[in-house]
Amino acid sequence: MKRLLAVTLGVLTAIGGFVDIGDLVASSLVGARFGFSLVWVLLLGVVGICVYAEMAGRVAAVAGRPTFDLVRERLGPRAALVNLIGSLLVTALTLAAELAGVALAIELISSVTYLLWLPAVLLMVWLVIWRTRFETMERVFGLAGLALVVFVVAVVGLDPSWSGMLDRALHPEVPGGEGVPTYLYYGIALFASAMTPYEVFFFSSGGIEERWGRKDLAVARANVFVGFPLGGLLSLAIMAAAALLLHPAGVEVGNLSQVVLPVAVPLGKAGIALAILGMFAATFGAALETALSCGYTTAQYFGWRWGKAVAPRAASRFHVVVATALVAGTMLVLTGIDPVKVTEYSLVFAAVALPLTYLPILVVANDPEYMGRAVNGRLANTMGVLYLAVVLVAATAAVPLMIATKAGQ
Amino acid sequence: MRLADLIGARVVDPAGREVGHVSDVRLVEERVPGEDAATRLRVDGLVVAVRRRSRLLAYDHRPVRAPLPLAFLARRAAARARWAPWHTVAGHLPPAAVGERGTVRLDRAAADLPLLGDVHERWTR
Repeated sequence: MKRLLAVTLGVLTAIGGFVDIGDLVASSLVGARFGFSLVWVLLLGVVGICVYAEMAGRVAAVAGRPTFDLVRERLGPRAALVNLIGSLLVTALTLAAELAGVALAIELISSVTYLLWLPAVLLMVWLVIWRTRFETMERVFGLAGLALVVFVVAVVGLDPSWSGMLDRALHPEVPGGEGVPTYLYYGIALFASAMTPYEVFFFSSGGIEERWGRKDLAVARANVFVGFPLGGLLSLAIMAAAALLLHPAGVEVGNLSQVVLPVAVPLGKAGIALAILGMFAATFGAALETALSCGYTTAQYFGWRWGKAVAPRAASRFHVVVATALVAGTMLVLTGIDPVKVTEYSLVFAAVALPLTYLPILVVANDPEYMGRAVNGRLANTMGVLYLAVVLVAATAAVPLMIATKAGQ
Repeated sequence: MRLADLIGARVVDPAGREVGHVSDVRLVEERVPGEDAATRLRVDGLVVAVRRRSRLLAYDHRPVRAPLPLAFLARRAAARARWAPWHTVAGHLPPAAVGERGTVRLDRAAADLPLLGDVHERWTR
């Protein structure tokens, strides 16, 4: 019974923790601009993160090795350094977007500009990282993120034609007035919003923080195979709400306030309040995850002591990297750069960086010297190779499409 | 000596021809005879990679057997990598200066060393 409770709690946390600023912006933006025609990409991305996170989690639990440790071992110090710099820049950019998201959520409640809230957000995020236990931190923000279920309720409340929605999702068409390159460009951004590298750094490093062993594999798998798809359902609901209300009205999402807008129609003020709470928790939780991920990747590459399980004094360099990333992210947003654009760019570059960490994990998950009998089975390998092809295509196409479409204009 | 003196070292055959470089050193932990709890590490042998550029994914010092497309790439990348058991090492010189490469001299020609692909099996048992 106690174990069941632990699994349930873990799964609920994974659902709430799945959504971040990337999912909020990409799902809403794509729903508003392309209706239901990119639902398939979201599904592709959610299955992809399941495949990737299951492997990384299994490697963490069985071999006790986090992602970046293996990246360095497989690629060698030089190639891995390039990889580290790339991953770090993308994660820091995502962190900036998450911090802006937290501040924007507070702005929606207070009507005081988000730029003024940023220093306070920085301080809060840093304090939580410095003071709170890993598990508490994960649970509180993951569970509060469940408030985003309000988007599912909103979609049901709008009483849409379900068969019509399904039909449009199953027979995707590029909407009139949009070019195919733009469609594909946003497709890649949406794919990357579900399959973000930092999520896997965090998931596997978190597994080591919580001292997973073989016996925890079942819990890790439940988190991945139940929690992530249900988290993806939240993204789908955000997209559907935008597709039902914003798309027909021709409203484009250029601001975070427009993401919560569709909830107001069926649910009124209470709905908006819950949506803002969910947005706050989701972005705050993701700000913690991205900031920690900056520290995890760097410390794992250089072989420093890392993690929240050790006292900050014993992992000082790890905490310096985390704090530096937080300050750098805040400063970037304080320049007044458009947070939605920052999110978009972070997604596109995440797509570019993805194969660099995906490939080493796929190789190590097949290595019996590390994994013993827990090596990839036939299904994991079929999916693993399929997704290797998908992430390679997305990574290669991302920048050319960005240039060709002038970043989706 | 330090492990760092071996890793990356030039590998030459008895005639002084360059065979490749040391891309990995494998150690074996074994019991010390006569002492119950004590163990010691013995150098089992060296992985000799032929190409500098085949570092990607460390194909030439770790086996990759699955998934198929990667195993195929790995076999091609490590096709000429060899395994030099420690008893085939005739001598070794440390690097002349920090940052330079040491030299490992073999007691036989490269063609007489087993292919790395053939000894992988032993490692994972």
